[in-house]
Amino acid sequence: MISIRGLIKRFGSHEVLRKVNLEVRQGEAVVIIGPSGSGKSTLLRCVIGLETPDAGEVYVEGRPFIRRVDGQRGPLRRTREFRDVQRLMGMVFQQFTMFPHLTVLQNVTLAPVRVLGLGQEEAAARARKLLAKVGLEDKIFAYPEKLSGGQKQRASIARALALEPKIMLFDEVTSALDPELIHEVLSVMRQLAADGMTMMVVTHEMGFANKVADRVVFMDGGTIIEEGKPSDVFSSPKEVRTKAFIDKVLTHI
Amino acid sequence: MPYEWAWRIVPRALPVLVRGLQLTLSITLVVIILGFLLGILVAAARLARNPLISKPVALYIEFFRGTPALVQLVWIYYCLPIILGIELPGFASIIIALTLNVGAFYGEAIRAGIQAVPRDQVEAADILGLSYPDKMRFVVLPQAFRVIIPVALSLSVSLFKDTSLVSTIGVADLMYQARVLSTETYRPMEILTVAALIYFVIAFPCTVATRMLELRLASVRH
Repeated sequence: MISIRGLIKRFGSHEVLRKVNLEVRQGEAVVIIGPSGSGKSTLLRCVIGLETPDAGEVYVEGRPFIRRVDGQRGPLRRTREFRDVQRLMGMVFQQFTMFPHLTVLQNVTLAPVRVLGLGQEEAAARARKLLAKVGLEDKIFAYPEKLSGGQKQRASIARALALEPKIMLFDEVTSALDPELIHEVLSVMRQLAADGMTMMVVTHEMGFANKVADRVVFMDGGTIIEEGKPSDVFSSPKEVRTKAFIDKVLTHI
Repeated sequence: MPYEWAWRIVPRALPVLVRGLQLTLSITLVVIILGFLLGILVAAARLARNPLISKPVALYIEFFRGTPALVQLVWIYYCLPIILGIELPGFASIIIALTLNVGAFYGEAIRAGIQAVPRDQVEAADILGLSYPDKMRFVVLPQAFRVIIPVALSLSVSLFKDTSLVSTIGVADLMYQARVLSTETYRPMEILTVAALIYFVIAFPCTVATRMLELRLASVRH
């Protein structure tokens, strides 16, 4: 489904991603964990083309999306083909990115109408169905400022799903939320995974990783240190750094 | 001996002043429209990645912001025809001068408004697959205009007052008529007071409306 090969990203002289390789299979939920600054978010941002990697390749459903050789200059070019492949991926961010001047419904129908060429009616019907799925059927005419953080994130998920992506990327989507709102967002994500959506999830919610992930990837210092089934990674990590991280996050409770 | 006000001349002066006001308003309106269109181009050029486009435009902006409008006006009125080797009617040269002046200010306001749109809004639009024109039209500009409109309105009020500069080169606007009447009647105090009131009666409601709009737009947050 997604194939990441030799991804390198530098910010100035600091190498944030050091030749990352990762395959995500159809229907798989991959949860990426690791300390702050380990490159998890940068990895997602490179995969979807928001950051320009310094080198490496990304393939989506076998279609080449990003191919950079080291030393190549300039930002990614947003060609038609680039946008077509980019659209196969949906993404939800840590920050709230609902468009504040549009209602929830308009937020969700904008791209289907403008990008997929759906009629207003059809797009609205699709949006209503998705908003019902994330539990926001009574908020469709509300503006984002009237929503709680959890509702905004659920609406953002519906907005991304409206383009019928093949894979969803979640970048610490619960990190900006009040603790009591985290659950409602995670349960939507768990439902998505159960429906067979291919997912890459960066999160600090270890309970979610443990329960929902098909595979857990531990990153540190810009590389993948260890990956495996959640039960293996959490209970018997092979690498010292993985063990240190997991001990730290699990014992702070 | 205390000054004796002679307000009785006002009824006679008023029609002349109002004729001047009509020209003042026409100049203001034309320059607002042309200046805003120029401002859009200026902002687009300022935001261009190509430094061959953005640098010269930055220089233009700094030049027109950093020199007095009166100097610009006089220079374009007297020097531009010589340099271009053509006759420019007085009206055309003041329109050009004022448009170039406010275009620089509008341009900066528009650029600032566009850059005030949070980066993650732009990124969200990008990954939804919106094309560049759609991204600007549906996501960036509606949010930018919240910032741009109050600034553009207050620039426009300033422009309305600054058009009085054109009286120095013989364009018969409100200020020009006031000065002519002053010399004709030997009553500059009365005439100029009335002229000031006319400017104020128009500018003040606009300023108040701008401030109210600004407060309303600021209260809409996400």
